[in-house]
Amino acid sequence: MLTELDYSAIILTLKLAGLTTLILLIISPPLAWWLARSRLFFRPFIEALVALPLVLPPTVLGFYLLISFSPDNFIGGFWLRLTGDTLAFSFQGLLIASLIYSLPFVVQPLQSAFVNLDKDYLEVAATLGFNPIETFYRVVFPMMLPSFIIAGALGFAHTVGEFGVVLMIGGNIPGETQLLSIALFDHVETLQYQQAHLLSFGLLTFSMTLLVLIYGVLQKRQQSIIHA
Amino acid sequence: MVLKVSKKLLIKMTRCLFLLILLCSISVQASIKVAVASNFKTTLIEIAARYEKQTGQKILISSASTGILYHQIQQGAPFDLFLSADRERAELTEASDKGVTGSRFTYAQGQIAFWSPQDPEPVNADTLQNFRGRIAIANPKLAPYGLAAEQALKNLNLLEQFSYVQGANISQTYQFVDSGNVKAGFVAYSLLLEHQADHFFVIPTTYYQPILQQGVLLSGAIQRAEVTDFMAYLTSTAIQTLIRSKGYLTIKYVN
Amino acid sequence: MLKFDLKKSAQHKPLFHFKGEVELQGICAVFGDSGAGKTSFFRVLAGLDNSFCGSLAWQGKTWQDNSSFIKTEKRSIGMVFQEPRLFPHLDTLGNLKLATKKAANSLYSITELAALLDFEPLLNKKIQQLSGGQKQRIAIARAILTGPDLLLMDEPLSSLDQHSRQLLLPFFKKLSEKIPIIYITHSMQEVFYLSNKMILMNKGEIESIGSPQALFLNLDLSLAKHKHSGVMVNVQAVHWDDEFSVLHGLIDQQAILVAIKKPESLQDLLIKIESKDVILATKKLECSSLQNCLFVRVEQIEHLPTGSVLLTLNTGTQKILAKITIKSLNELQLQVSQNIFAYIKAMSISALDS
Repeated sequence: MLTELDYSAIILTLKLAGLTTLILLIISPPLAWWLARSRLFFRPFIEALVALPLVLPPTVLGFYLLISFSPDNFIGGFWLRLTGDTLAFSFQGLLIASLIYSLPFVVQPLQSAFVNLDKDYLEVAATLGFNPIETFYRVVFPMMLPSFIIAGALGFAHTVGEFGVVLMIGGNIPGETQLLSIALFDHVETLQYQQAHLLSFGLLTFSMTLLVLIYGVLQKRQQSIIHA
Repeated sequence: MVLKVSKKLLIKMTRCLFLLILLCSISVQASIKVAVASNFKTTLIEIAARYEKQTGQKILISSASTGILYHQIQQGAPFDLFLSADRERAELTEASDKGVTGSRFTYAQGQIAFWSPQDPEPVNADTLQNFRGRIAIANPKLAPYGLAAEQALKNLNLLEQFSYVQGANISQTYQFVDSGNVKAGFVAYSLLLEHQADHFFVIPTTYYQPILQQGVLLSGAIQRAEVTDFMAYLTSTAIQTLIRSKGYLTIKYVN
Repeated sequence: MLKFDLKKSAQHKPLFHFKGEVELQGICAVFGDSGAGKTSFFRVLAGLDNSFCGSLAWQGKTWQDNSSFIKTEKRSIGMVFQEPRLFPHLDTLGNLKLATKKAANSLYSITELAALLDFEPLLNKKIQQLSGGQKQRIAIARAILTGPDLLLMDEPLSSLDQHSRQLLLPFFKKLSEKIPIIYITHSMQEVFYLSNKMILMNKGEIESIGSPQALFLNLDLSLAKHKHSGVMVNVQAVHWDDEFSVLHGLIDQQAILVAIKKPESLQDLLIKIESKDVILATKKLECSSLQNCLFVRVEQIEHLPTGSVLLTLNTGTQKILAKITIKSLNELQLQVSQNIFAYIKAMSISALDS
């Protein structure tokens, strides 16, 4: 059956995914808004940069993160001076990696929602006396709520399922960087099929439920609002 | 009309495709397919090149972690020979219907070294004794080199002295140290030689169980005679000398 | 006072130039052809379009000049768009409540407006369940709830059913006593019924500003083609004839019969007299079915490119138009300042009742 290490890996994974989702839901809306509205010539480059984790093998990201986390390099060195600890093999390091890795999963649903958002509604909001920030939280956010939930759910699910990057920069430290996907990998590698099955099936059920919710309920809801 | 033409074209294309696949499979059939643990890949490429030059026999090399290769073989992957990085997976394969009983052999014996590349002083046993903080080792549950490192540390009474960062395999562990994210670690001596690294100290083999890298003939092999020839070649004196120059120990016995 | 001098050019060609000033009291209509720039004018007034240069001031406050631009949300305007633009994720009440969030003081409460505009049963309905007319009424209520200093309405009735029109027209008139309204419309009836002032737009410019009567009768303006069809005239109601179902009224003290539905109360009304329905005579006609005869003075004779003639006729204080052939003009030998009789069929008079 599941060991204490497994449970600690599950809790750690939920903590990482929760934090990642929270931070992404704060930084993604302005970014997605800019991507949806900007006509600047360098917008496609930023868009591509955000989307890169979708197409790159996680190893590439992991490899570059490992290099940049090194105390010999700027980011790793800065972090070491700031906190006295290295960024690689730490929870904070994983968090940074997750933020990068899951960013497109949160930005893209929001971006497509904002592209579909009729500018007319923003004009109405202005005539109701709302400044852009008020317009965002009084009109855009409630109107696009299903898309925000989709974005959050995809970001969360993707972080939970993250493996390649974690394998490369995690260092497999129990309670710190040993995540569910790594624990699962260990079980498979060491031929502990029962635990592997349990964790895999749990992960599968979780992801499946989330995706059915997204595609079956939330997306329909958003469509019915957009095309009202 | 359009439909007819496209149908003809489709048939032609399908024929071409079949031919292509047939050609591929013919050329593949002539070569020996070896599944090798990642850490031995570069060495095996060199050996295979020599073998091909001498005999004309082609060797097709697939590499991955021992664990992944083991699973693939269990699921019916079409390999002729399995060169595991450890003894356990080779034994399991031999015992299963995928391996040929009695064909298991040791082709190399690994060595571990303590590596501290940034150390200003020469690295020796004292360096290890006096080192404090975090070190990188391969995951002892997954990698034989990790297990050996753990055994050595236990025997040296140093296990509690450090905190650990674990790589999923020995090359990842090497990367952790090489990239500067960890100051020191236990890595394979062969990797250090391959990358012409310095500032390391080879751990005497008395401190850990031998890391026996074993191979096993797979029951799916069609040209069994050719594969057996290659297995014999691997344990020949000339090749063992080559292997030793790559940072492995000479095999004294085959079990 | 609304003062504006706003310009927009594209590729060195002037697209729009809105220049003028207007004292806003009651409803000021904005009239003009499609593409004349009415909606563009509205958008720049509302601050939704910042691509114009020039100046704009309302009640002494600068909304826009070379160095400053007050954003829409700071202008305290209520706006009714051509389409309702209600927020689809909220129900009726939610839409209306949102409008009160930043309202300092609104003339009406949500309940009052629901009663006045007849949408009480719709308050808890989803927007998707409402008809076009219902949505527009709620959009109007929303604009009023923001407690604006100025209301901008862009053809608010253009797509509405008769019920909604009859409800809204008197309401707008009453509302305009408290909040000035600028009102875009295509309907001459609406202009005459609602407004005491009109901004006439033509080809991206303000052509003229004045009372609707004066503008429609000014032969130099682009309104000529509207004028050909007829003008609006005020009729003072005298009494309702139940026997024949007609209204007896007076135009400049001259009797007139109007065939309309029985009004609930006797009140003055606007009628439209089509210029082609006016028959001219130099002597009184006898033995005809024509009921209405007005004694008028010929004020102006205009030859139209179509080969007909348009005469402006003065009834005393008001004017009507008559369109006749050149042949008739020559046979009757009509001249400016001549006094003649103008006959109008009672049935051809359409009234804009309220």
